[in-house]
Amino acid sequence: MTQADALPLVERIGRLSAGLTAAERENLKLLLSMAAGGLLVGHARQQSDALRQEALETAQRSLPKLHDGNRPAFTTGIVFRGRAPFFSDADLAAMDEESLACRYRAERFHDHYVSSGAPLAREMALSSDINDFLTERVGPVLPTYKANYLYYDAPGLGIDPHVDKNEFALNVLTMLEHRPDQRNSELILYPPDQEPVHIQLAHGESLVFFADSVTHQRTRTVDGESIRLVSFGYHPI
Amino acid sequence: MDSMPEMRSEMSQAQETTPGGELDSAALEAALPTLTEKLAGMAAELSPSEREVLSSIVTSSALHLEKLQDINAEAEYIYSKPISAAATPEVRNHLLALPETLGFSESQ
Repeated sequence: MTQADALPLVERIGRLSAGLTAAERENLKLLLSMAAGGLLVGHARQQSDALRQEALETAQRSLPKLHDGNRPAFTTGIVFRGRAPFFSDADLAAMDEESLACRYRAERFHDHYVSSGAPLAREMALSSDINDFLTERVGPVLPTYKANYLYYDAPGLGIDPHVDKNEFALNVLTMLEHRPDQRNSELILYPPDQEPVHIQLAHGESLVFFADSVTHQRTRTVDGESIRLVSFGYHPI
Repeated sequence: MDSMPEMRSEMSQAQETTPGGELDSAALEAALPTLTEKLAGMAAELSPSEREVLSSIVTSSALHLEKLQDINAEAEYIYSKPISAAATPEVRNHLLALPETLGFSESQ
């Protein structure tokens, strides 16, 4: 018996998705991602554990189904983790500097800060090196020209389980700074049918993952902890 | 991974997106009633156990959205932010009401 057989609703949702418009599908994605987030953080406790677990697995397994037809198969959703060849030391230093310069205009979004549309970051998003790197691994992609600096630089910042919207379907996330060395906040991915994947990115290290398909979160910062990241959005075609 | 046919036409995609290719808020809001109708249609065909799972999903989604709303009640939720929780108030309110709309309110 396959996992899909064990979770019949996954196949039904997949069939439903195939008949949806893009806007309907995006709303369904929001519904499923919020469900996965809610179940992961323990809402609906009056329901039995077995039901909540099945609902979580169904939501997690259904999210990638929304993109069938233009996604390679994946298990964890992680395409690459490491020091990416498409960013030189100079690139990282320049983005580090720009992210610091843009901090004052970052907007609070839920429990972290975001600065969008910085000139250098936008230029980087058009890099053919990144495009080639991604294409080699997941097939053709289009840059969405979305580039965000993310800041978790006060105690208690983080982001609850969620999936990213369409513009960050394939997210290239790079650590610019995480201090001090004693870290509390971490990125956690919740791939279906697997243990959560805990990730602490080193300075200059990148994570490329299907952020619109795998529920993920950043756990809260503690007093004295500060994190700066840069995130680029791509879309598989 | 199984493959599903991609049924979006280029025309329908064009109607729903901005010149930059993004889905705009109006299109997302306009798609809520039809999505709800399709979800209701699917729910009507489910076995009791499948219906229970769908109810749990819809209910948990509403509870999580409500919690995120409570975290930052003053925030302006604009559909230009990076995560899917960045729904417009209309989208959010629709999803908050969805358990009741679909007849799942008994499990909240």
